[in-house]
Parts: sequence; C-alpha cells; structure tokens
Amino acid sequence: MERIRFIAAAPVRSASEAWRVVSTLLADTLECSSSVPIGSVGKELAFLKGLGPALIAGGHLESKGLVLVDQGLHLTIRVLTADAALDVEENLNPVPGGASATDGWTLYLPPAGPLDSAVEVAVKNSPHLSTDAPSASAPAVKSDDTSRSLIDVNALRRLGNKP
Amino acid sequence: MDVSEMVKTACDMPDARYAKLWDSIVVDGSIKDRLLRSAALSLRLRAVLPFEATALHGLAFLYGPPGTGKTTLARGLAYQLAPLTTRRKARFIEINPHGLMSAEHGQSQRRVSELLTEHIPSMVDDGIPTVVLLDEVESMVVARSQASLAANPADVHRATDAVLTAIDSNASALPHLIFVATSNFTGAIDEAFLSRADVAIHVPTPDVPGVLAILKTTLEAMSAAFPPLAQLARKPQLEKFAKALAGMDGRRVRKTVSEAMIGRLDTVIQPGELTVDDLMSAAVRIQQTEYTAQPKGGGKNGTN
Repeated sequence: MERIRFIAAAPVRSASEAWRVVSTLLADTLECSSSVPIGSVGKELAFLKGLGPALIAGGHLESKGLVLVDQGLHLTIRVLTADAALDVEENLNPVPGGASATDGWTLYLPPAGPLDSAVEVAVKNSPHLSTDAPSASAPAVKSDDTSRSLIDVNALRRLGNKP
Repeated sequence: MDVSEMVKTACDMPDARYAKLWDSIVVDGSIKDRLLRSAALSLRLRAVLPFEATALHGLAFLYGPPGTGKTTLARGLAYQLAPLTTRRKARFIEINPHGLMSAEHGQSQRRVSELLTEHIPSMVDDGIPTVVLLDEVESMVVARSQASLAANPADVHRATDAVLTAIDSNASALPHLIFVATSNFTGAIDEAFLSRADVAIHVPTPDVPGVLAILKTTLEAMSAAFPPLAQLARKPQLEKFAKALAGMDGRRVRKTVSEAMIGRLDTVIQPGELTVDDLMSAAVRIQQTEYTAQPKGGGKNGTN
C-alpha cells in the first residue's frame, strides 16, 4: 500500500530539525523489523548528513519527496515549507509495514538541481540510497513469507474432535 | 482529537479476562461454530492466496436484536482464535465508532481513514492475528442510499467511503486482520459494506431451552455469594418460568432474576431466599409491562 507522510519545515522548524524528524521516522519504521538492526538506518542516512537539510532548505523534498521502498512498503515523505508547513497535520508514528521490512530497503532521492552531484556521491557510498526513479508501488511480499500459515491445521483438527 | 483515543481496548490473547465471554453466551452452537470457522478460514486462506483468488475481505457481520450477545461473542472470538494460530497468540482491538463521527466538515472521513489505514495497521504490524470489533457499526457506515440531503450528507458519504476503502486495502495488505461488525439495524447500514462481509450471522433471541440455560447459569453464578440459589437453579419448575420468558432477549432474561428479587424486601435482604414463586411473579410483572409490548429494536448490545 502506498503511503505518504508530510513533515513541516520552516517556519515550523529549521531544515536541520526537519531532517532529524525525517531520519527518526525512517529509523523508527524500518527498525521495527528484526531484519533491520537498531542503528543501521542512521548509519546509512549519515551519508546524507548536511545534504538532507540542504535538500529541505532548497525545497527539493516538497513536491516529489523521498520515497522509501521495500517489500510491502512504499512510503513517500514530503517536507513542506512556508504556508503549507503551517497547515500540515503530521503523523510521526512508525509507518505500517515497517515490521516486515528487509535489509534490502531503498531510499530514493528526487532530482535536486545544483545538489545532484553531491547526492550522487552519497548514493555511491550506500547500497540503500538511490537516485533512480522508484517503483510506483511496493514490491509484493516474497512467497516465503506469504506461505507462512497463520493457522495451525492440527489445532483446527483437535477443535473438531472436541465433544 | 487523536484517533488513538478511538481505540477502547487493545489486548493480547490469551487474556484471562476474556476466557469466559464466549461460553457465557447461550446461543445455538452453530452460531459460534460459523463465527470461529469463518475467522480461522479467513486467516488460513488470505495468508497464502491473493485477494483476487479468495475475494475475502476479512469481515464478519453479526446482526440481530439487542441483548442477544453479538458484542460479547465478538469480544470472545480472539480468545478462541489464539490457540488455533501458529503462534498461539491473537489480539483483540475494540474501537468506538461513535467517537469517529465529527460535526466538523470532512473530519469524520479523515478520522476513519487515519484510524483504519494508519493507526490500526501500525498496531498490528507484528503480524499477530487480530480481531477488530466495530460495535454498532451503523454509526460508521450509514446507508448512503438513505442518507438525507438535509442531514450533513457529504460527510456521511465520505465516512462510509473511507470505511469501504480501508476494508478493501486492508483485505489484501493485512491478511492477519479480521473485522467483526455488529448491528441491530441492518437497514441503516450501507449495502456496499454488507456485500463485503465474508459471513453474515444472525444472532436471534434464545428459544425456551436457551432461556432455561441462561437462567440456570445466572442463578449458578449468583450462588457463589448466595449458595441456596444453586438449588433453585436445579428445580424442574424453572422450565415453566423459561416458557413464560420465551421471546425475550438474553440480557432481559438475566435481569428477570434481579427483577424477581426486588419483588420482596426479604429477597433484597437475603437474595438466597428467592423461590420459584418469586420468579413466576416477576414473569407476570414483566409480561404486563409496556416494555415487552413494544416492538424490538434500539438499545445497546451487550452480554446476555
């Protein structure tokens, strides 16, 4: 399911603070999963240190935003400024689907004009960052996971044997 | 208002507080069987097949007169389901549909959407099979075909749309999620919602054996504090009393015991002295009241 979250930047909070909020939301969401170690998301996002606030300050995350994609997870994060920031209703809770995230998650960054070259450098340093166009929807959950039954058939049989 | 405040209950099963709910409701065994089997089958099929194959929305609908135990059955379902799951766990979430409706333009839709597509999915992100109770669901999914244009229709339509959209999206994205909706007013519920129900189960008023069973369990439960009532529960004359109460909902049947106790000051002081004659007198009083002469409908669900 495609989801979108809006984060307020200036004048509600500075670009640096807004980036911290974005980073926390990403970490809180992905690190719900046992496949994503605690602290690992922050390490990857460290490659965007300085660059993330610059993207926000330049308005590059206003229209297209960041897109987080993993199996069963498709999250767009748009960071709004000016009047739009004053009207935004933020939901900073971890995004549903995070608990089943894998270590193959990818954060797609939008075109950033004069910052493109700096973004490319960051992307080269992390396998979890990309400047490619994200898929339009979340990849399906792998069959290994979907075939995991929720119901114990033997327990059902025992239920049938009860008087 | 934060939509998280709309969640009345959220607890993991097995939870001892829910252990006796299922058995406390005296209904035909086939009603409980259908509800439990439909939940188990929904979890079984939706976990391994796409929505296109199953057409299952994970929605069970319980309907019938007030006081017949619909809500209590729904509350007890997760406890019954837990031992059938591979993780031996289930979760129960109850939401308060009335709190979702707002007089502010567009707010009802926003709250419904946020609750059902963001908040609830976040709560169940761990994949544990979860039963979500939508009690008195008619307040959430008003029949759009009957919504008056003079009664804030735009928001009514939007809120109903939001529920339908959420059920559709959760059906495939969250195969471990099951909604159980209850209502006394099927005519007031949107047709599109009813068509999404995987199973619709009528919970009727109890028949004479059912009334008798409810009376016995009520007296036996009270005998914990007033032991002589256990003997009264075994008296064969109770069947005559049960026949006098035929057609009454389970909740009213339970209340006839206390109604009988208030017939004499002695039985208020010492409830254990209640007799069959006291019960029969209460039956006559109840039959003479205007309440039983009114058509059934209205009121709130609950334990019978």
